Formats: sequence, structure tokens, C-alpha cells
Amino acid sequence: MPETSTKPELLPPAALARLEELARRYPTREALMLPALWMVQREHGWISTEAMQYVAKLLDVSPVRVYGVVSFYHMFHERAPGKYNIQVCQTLSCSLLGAEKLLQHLQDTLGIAHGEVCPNGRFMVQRVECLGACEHAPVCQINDDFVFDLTPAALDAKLAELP
Amino acid sequence: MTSGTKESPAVQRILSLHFDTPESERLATYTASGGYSACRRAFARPPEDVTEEVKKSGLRGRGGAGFPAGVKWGFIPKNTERPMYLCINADESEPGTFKDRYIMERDPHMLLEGILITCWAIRSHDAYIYIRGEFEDARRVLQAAIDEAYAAGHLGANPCGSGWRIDVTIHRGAGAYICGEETGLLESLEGKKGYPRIKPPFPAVVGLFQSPTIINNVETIACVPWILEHGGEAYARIGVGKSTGTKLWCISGHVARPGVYETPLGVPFRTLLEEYAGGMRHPDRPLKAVIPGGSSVPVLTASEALGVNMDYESLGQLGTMLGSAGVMVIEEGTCMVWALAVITRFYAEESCGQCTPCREGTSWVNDIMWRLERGGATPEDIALVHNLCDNMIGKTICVLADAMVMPAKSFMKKFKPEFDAHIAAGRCPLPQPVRD
Amino acid sequence: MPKIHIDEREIEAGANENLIATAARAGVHIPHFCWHPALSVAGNCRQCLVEIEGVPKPQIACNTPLKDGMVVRTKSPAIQEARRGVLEFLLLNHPIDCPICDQAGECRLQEYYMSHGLYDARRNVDKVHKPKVVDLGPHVLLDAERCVLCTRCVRFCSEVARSDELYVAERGSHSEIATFPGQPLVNAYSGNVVDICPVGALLSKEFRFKSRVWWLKKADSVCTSCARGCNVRIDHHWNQVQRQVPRYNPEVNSYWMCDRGRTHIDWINEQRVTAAQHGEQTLVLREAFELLAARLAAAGSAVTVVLSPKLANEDLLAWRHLFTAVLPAAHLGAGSLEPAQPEDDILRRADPHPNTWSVQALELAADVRALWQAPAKLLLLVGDDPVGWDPALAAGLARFDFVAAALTNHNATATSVLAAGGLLLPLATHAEYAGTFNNYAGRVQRFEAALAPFGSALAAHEMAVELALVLRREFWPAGKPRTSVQQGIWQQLAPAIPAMPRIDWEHVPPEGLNPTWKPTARPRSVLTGEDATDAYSWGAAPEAARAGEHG
Repeated sequence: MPETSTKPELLPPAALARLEELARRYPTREALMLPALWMVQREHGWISTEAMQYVAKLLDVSPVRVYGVVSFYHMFHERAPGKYNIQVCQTLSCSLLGAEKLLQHLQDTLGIAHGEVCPNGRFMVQRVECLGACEHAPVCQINDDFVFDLTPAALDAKLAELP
Repeated sequence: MTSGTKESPAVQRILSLHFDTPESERLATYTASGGYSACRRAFARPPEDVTEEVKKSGLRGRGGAGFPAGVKWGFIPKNTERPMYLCINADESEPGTFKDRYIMERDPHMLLEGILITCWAIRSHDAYIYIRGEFEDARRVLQAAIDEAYAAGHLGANPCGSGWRIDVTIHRGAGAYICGEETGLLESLEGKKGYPRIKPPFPAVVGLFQSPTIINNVETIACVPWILEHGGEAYARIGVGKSTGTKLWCISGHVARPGVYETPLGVPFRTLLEEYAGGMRHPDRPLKAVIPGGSSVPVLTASEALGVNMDYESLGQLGTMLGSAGVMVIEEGTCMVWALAVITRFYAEESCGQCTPCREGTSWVNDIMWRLERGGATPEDIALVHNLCDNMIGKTICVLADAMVMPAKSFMKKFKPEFDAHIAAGRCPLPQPVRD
Repeated sequence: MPKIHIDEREIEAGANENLIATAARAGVHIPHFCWHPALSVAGNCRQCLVEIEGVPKPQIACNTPLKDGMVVRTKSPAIQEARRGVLEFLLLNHPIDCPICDQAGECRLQEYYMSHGLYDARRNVDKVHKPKVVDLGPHVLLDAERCVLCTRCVRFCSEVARSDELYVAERGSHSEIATFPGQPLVNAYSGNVVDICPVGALLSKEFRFKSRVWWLKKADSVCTSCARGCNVRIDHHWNQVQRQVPRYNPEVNSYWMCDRGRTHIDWINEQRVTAAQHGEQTLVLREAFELLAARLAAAGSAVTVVLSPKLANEDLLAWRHLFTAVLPAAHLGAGSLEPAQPEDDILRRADPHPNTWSVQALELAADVRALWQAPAKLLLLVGDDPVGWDPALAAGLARFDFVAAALTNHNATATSVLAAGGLLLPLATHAEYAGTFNNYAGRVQRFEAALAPFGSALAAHEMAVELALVLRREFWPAGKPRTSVQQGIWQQLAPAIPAMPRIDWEHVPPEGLNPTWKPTARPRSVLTGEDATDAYSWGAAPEAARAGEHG
């Protein structure tokens, strides 16, 4: 467990309590890696090196292992993402049904390409691989939420109604 | 209950019966239609009996490999002091596949009951559902179902009066196709990078946390309650030959009605396409190609597809595989070189990077494919890609490399004229390849 | 034991052996990168693919359990093709900058390309570029482009050094070996990753660009930085030590050595005493010995001789004999003021000397300060740097009529001795003669001469013989030895001391001699003051140094 310090804990007490409860379901602390990292990203939007060291201490593993894991999984952000992360699937069914056009459209209207955040920080665009919703191709996810059966116009409408 | 011969099976659907029922994800709906009674039958029988029943059913793994589930359960070591673990592979990342998402979102209790029975059979107290990170909606629904099950005493210390503790924990992935590979999943669950393990040892002996582990796909486990309720023999009467039971087909691409459809195994592809998926989306763009089992299997030409039945053996005879049943339908006017480049891009992105041939080969082949499409390829590139594929397949730690080689070689062989035309023209010769 | 066939030869395998290890033992080299006998199996390079009869796909030899009757083919056309394929993939993104790479000449990519590759490059895509000079830690640099991601370094840090500082970051062809951002590779054994890296990705900062490996001459030796006595190899060129690397010894140090020992080599090359000096004057050796002889005669028995636990067995035996049986001495002892070093349960011992065991066995252990303060007319020092460890000692030199010191380097002691009008003799380092040390467990380990002596430097035991000669005293109890001085010392002088082992100097094997005797002196731990079997004392350490002893 981390020592007490004047710095605020990177995870709120409720999350830490949930993590300890979850710990009873696994024989090793290292197995809490993904759950802990998701909690951090939920709390802060991304995972800093400071957060990685924090998780390393929580799990009693070497910090470089946390770093290796974060850099391996594509859903973890090592830099602050936009408020809305638009993840456009570019695998076969979605491409067959117009994903390239969607991506080009986002580039034209928002001015950003893969991995980039627009200047006001509202949107980030990511090219992602098959999202497992091919019957609604082309699809994207905005943060955790699916948006199905897209066209450039439908995507514009969806983005416009976001708070 | 159910009777019928193979010629006119009475049972058409098992898994999707309640997909469109309102509130199908609720426990109340599930028990109202007889849920959580199959597990009581299982708990009343010796675990080995339950495994035998599943063996009799001929149920094959629905994740892609098609390995008989009952046989896999039989691999668990008999004398071991280590705990047994069950892992449910809900990583569903094979391109073209989305059936497990339906099960988890629309009939999660069916999956949970399957888990109960499986845990009983393999003597496991702990099941982990490894779900891909992108399926957040499904995860919430599944977690709610788990909470309901605990509250109702169907999970926990004494599920359905069995006296056999069963705990189910959802473990959320974070965006890596390779975590759908059995041992990649185990590594990820243990908190590491999803690097598949060298085998031997095999997971049934040394799996999760060094303990014997069975890993099964969501759909596979979802079939188990019906099998215990109606018997393995009844299940085996559905389907054809060694392809027993029903199957959830994921149909996507250039069809009028993409979606999840369930039929007994052995249904003609033509039937799936025309009667279920509404035929091709544009009447003036006929069928050109079909990938029958997720992108990791060889492609079929239109004439091959229109003549084949959808079962493990028939597809095997055509040199392809049923795989994950991710059926991707491609219409005339689509550039097959471009389509292959989109596919190879997937494997290059998803290679974990652990072993040499896959790490370097997937990226090299992908680079050549895009060069073929956009310009800069040479005549030697086709032979080069074939040779690189030969140097990758069967030489790696896991089959991701093979999964890229299957589409690569089959596309280049069956649509060779298109590849030759790209080289001759120096880039894609189609004026405006159909991409919408 | 299973009997297997490898390339038509029948080979008996050891119990629980891996195919690749069995093959290696039988002289069949199966090319590989990621496998290492002292690390867990990774199976990721895929270079060791072999054909096994009855198995459809080629199998990696490093993860193939042996079955009696197994038939293995390592040279079939399919395997040659597979090997070439793997090599081609490895070289796809490899910079191939051999002309500026230290690994050239001992690089597996080079070796395997020459033996299995020799293909025309088909690469027609841009190489992935990665950082080329990553400052990984105080001793190690990483060139990420050259890395083949065998993960030997990751496994070493996890399993041997147990520091878990390295891991693979990113995914796919962008994978890179990394430490945690901002945290350098600082475990005490970091240099070993350079040894085990099969390519030029991990490089030694100390050795970088110093020498081409095919110019290096090699000599078996023993590390002198602590009482473990790790077996090493001294690689030298132009009579300079270029680098020191571990030598495999399963009973002492396995394949490893610590960074302190590995990098502690500059003192052999630099600031050496190469000629005898008296005040400002340089003397030839003959003059120097005659001067010393005269002063010894004048002092009679009022002589204090201070030896060092850094001296070899031959040196200690010779000097002890000289001043007990040949010449008189009021005070004779061996000690050092060098403070204890950090100790761990891997290799490092707190005792920073290679031969404390023998100092104990010869009953020479003494407090250095007490020796310096004992009443005498002449002080004779052999080895070490007592004034360097305690500058206050320098004032004590004035008490003596004459001071002489045989030292390897122009250190603080050398300066003080010359300033006090004393005599400085050029002492050879262990790299310049053959001898033996006894490590903390009493294991006798022989080191060979790597370099030619610097200037007119002499080994300490040679000086003892020479001194007796100049004083016209008979040194040898049983006459001049026929083979070598060292052999003579072991045959004629060692038997007088029951605690010293009986060895045949000419036939000490490269892995050393297991101790089969017990020392009669029970050593005390300088750190705890208690009797200890594993810790040896060497005199009191200064308080200041003791405070930092756990480093």
C-alpha cells in the first residue's frame, strides 16, 4: 500500500476499496493490473508516468511492467485525449462500407488525423481495428459508446449533439 | 421436447431464441422461460457425466478453432492440488465477428448458466470472463446479470443448492486482438502484456496462475445449458456429420440485411445470403467473394461460396474454415488488392511483436500490399509475399502469422489477375474502387 | 536417460535436458538468439527451428522435451530455408551498421548470416527507425534499432539480478526494450546484459569504440574486487586491459560478475609505478634492491612488514617465508583499511579483497594502524594504498629511519613514501603474472598472466626471492625450483602451514580447486564482530567508511 503523503491519492477511496475487494478474486496482486489501470483512466482520462508508478506501488510490481502494459494496449492513453475520442473502425466490413470516407471527412472537417487532438481539446480521432459490430458498419465509438450505421452526415449530427 | 431427423430438424435455434424478447437480459425473463434448471440437472450428476454429455453432443469450440469442447474438458489433470480455472473468452476481435456481443447483451444468463455447468464439470470454483475493452455496454449488462445471479443465489457459495462455490469475475481487456489467443488471454489476465506462451506446457495443465485452466468461447459455453436440458444426443441430431448443433452466423459486408442469424450447421451459404441476409445490397453488383469464418480464413470465390454448405467439413474440403463464422460478403466492383491490404493492415497492427517471423513479416507484407495498391510495387513482389508467407506460417509462437497468411495467399491465388493488373498499371487500375 | 538421434548420430541425453542443450553438449550447434542456459526459455527468436520426425511443423529446439528415440534433423533443406527466413526477418529492420558497431566480430547476426544466410537482400520497404543511443544506465547503452527483441536482458534483470528494471514497451514492430521512463538501469549486475546480448544492441559504455574484438588477446583470470573471486577473462590489446568479462564457473559465479568488478580495470592500465624511485631519483632494480638490502641490514630485526590481502598466495607465502625463516622482522602482518562494500545474496561480498582467506590461513591478519605504530626502524609495505584509505597515516612515516613500498600505482601511499625520502618499488598487478587466490570459501583459483609487466614491475613473490638473493641469503629450503618460482613456493613453503591447501601448481584446472580443508583460524565478521563462517575480517575500517558500508 502507498505510504501516506501530502499528495492526494491518484485513486479516490471508493475506487481503492473496490480494488481491494476485487483483489480477493485473484491469487496475485499483479492480476489487478488492467482493473487498476482502467480505474486510473476513468478518473483522470489518461495514464501518466506518475500514475504508472502509483499503480506499480499498489500492485507491488516493478514500474517498468506497468509501463510495458500501458504502451501495449491500444485503449490506454499515455497523453491526455480529447474530451471525445472518436475511434473509427477501419477493418474490412467497415472499410467495405465507407470507413475511409468517414476518416477523410473527419480530417476535412476537424482538421485532425489519427492520434491527434483538435486545438480546443474537444475531439481526438483514432483509427482502430474491428470493433465487433460489423452488422452496423461503418461504426465508430465515441469514448465508450458505439455509434452505428454511420455516414459523414450522421457522424456530423452525432458530434453536434454531444454536450 | 425436441425430435426430428437430420433431414428435417425440428430445432432451428437454441441461442437466439430470446434475443428480441423485451428485457431478455433480466433474470426474471430468463427464469420465466425455464432458465437455471439445466444447471440443477448438472449438479445432480457426477462431473464426469456432465463432461460425457458434452462430448456426446459433439459441441465444437465456437471461437474459431472448432476443437471438441467435451474432449478439451477431459484434458484436465485428475490428480492435482492446484485449483482449476475456467476462462470465458469474450475478447471477440476476429474481424467480421460479433455474435458473442449479442449473447452477452441479450441473453447473459444463458452464458452464466453455461458457466455454472462447466465449472461443475471441470471442478472449478472460479470463472473469469475476459471481455474486450471496447464492449463496455455488453460488460455493463453482463455485470448486472452477474449481480442478479448472486442476489438470487445462482452464484456464490452455494449456487442453486449445489454446495459448490462458483464465483464469476469480469476482467476487462484494453484493446488487443492477441488477447483472444488462449495463452495471450491468460497472460493479460495475469496482468502482463498479452504475449502468447510457448507450448508445451498447455493451458489444461499449466494455465492461469500456473494452474490447470479451460478456456472456452462465449458461444460454446452458451450452448451448454441446452445440452444438459435436452441431452447430448439431441444436440448431436442437429446439424450435419461432425458439425453438430446450431450456429450463430455473423453476416456483414455488402448484404441488404447484415446481422446475427442462427441456423443448424450445414445450412447452404446461398440460403444464408438470400433468405436470411436479404441478398446483395445492390442488385447490379453481384456476389464476388466471401470470407466465411472471420478474416483469418482463406477467401472463397462467388461460385465456390454459392455451392458450399456452412459446416466445418464442407468448408474444410474447399480449403477454408468455418472459423469464427464471421461471414463477410464482397460485391463485384470491389478491389481485392485493396481489400487484402485492409486485412493485412489489421494483422500488422495486432501482432504482439514477440516472435521474429510475425513481428517483421506482418509489417513487411502489409507494406508491400499498400505499395501494390498505391504504387511502387514490382513484379517480384507477388512471389516475395508468397515466400514470406511460407517463412511465417507454422514457424511462430501462435497462429496470428498463419491468420495473416491464410487470406494473403488465397486472395493472391484466387484473384491473381487483379494483382497482376495492379503491377502492370503501377497502382490500382480501378478508376474509383467501390468503397462505400 | 533418453537416447535420441541428431543428424544421424545417436546421442545420450541428460535427464531433464532441452534438445538445444543436449545438442550443444554433443557438439551440434543449433543457431539461436533468445535461449540462454542460465535463463528461462522464451522461444521468441525462432532461429533454433529443427525438424522432428513425425511432427509436421518445425519445432524450436529450446522448448522441445526429449523423448527416447526422437529423430532430429538440424540441417535439412527445409530447416536451412526456415533459418534463412528468420534471419531475413531479423535483418529487415536491422541497421546493419557493423562498421561502427562494437559487436562486430562476436555478433550472432553476422555469424549466422555467414553460415546460413548469404542471400541477396529482398527488403524493399523502409526500415523502422528507433532511438540509437539510449543512455540506459551508468554502464549500458541501448541501440534499439539493432535489438532483435530476444528478451535475454529482460529475463536477466528479472531472474538473476532480481531488479525487474527492463521490459518490452509498445507492440509489434515498434516494440523496444525500455526501462521505466526516467529510471536508469542501476542494478549492480547491469553489465551482464551486454555480455548476453547476442547483437550490438546493448553496449558497454566503458568498452564502446575502444577496440575491435578480433584484435583482443584473452587470458583467464580472477576478479580482485571482492572475496567472491568471480572467474573472469581479461581481454587486452597493446598491453592494455581493454575489458574484463565473466568466465563461466558453475560453482562460483555462473556466467555473471558485478559491475564494480567488471569496470575496476583502469588501475591496471594507468598511473602505474614502472620503475624504482628513491626521492627524485629513478633507479634500476638492482640498485633499488641493493639500497633496500643495505637498509634492512642496518635495521636488523627492527623491521615492520605490512602485506595486503590483495596479494596472491604465492606472494604471501614468499614474503612470510622471507621474514620468518630468512630475515628477522619484529612485526609482520597483512591487512587493509579499505572499507566494506555492499553485499548481496547474488555475488557480491562485503570483503573487497581477493585473498583474505589466505591471510587468515597464514595467520597474518593484523590491524594496519597497529602495525604502523609498532616500534621499528624500517617500514616495508607490499601492495594496497593505506595512506589513500587513511591520510592520517602519512604523518607516521616520519618515525621510521627508512620506508620502502612495493606498489602497483602512483597513489597517495607512493607519494607519501617518496616525500618521506623512501624507496618506491614497481609492483606487478595480478594481470602481469600467474598466481592463485583463495576466495571466501577457500577455493583455490588460478589467474594467468595477461599482460607483459609494465616497465620493470615485478610480482611480489619475485621481489622476495630477489631480495634474498641480494642479501646473499638462501631463500629456498630445498634448493632452487626446477620448473617455476610458483611451483617452488607451493612445494617448499606451503607445507609449513597446516591451514594452507596442498596443490599441484602446474595443474590447477581453469575452474579452480574445491576446498577440502578447514581453516584453523575462525574469522570474525568486521561488520558484526561475531564469529562467522562466511565473513572474514581484515582489520578495522575507519569509522567514516563504516558508516557508508551498506552503500
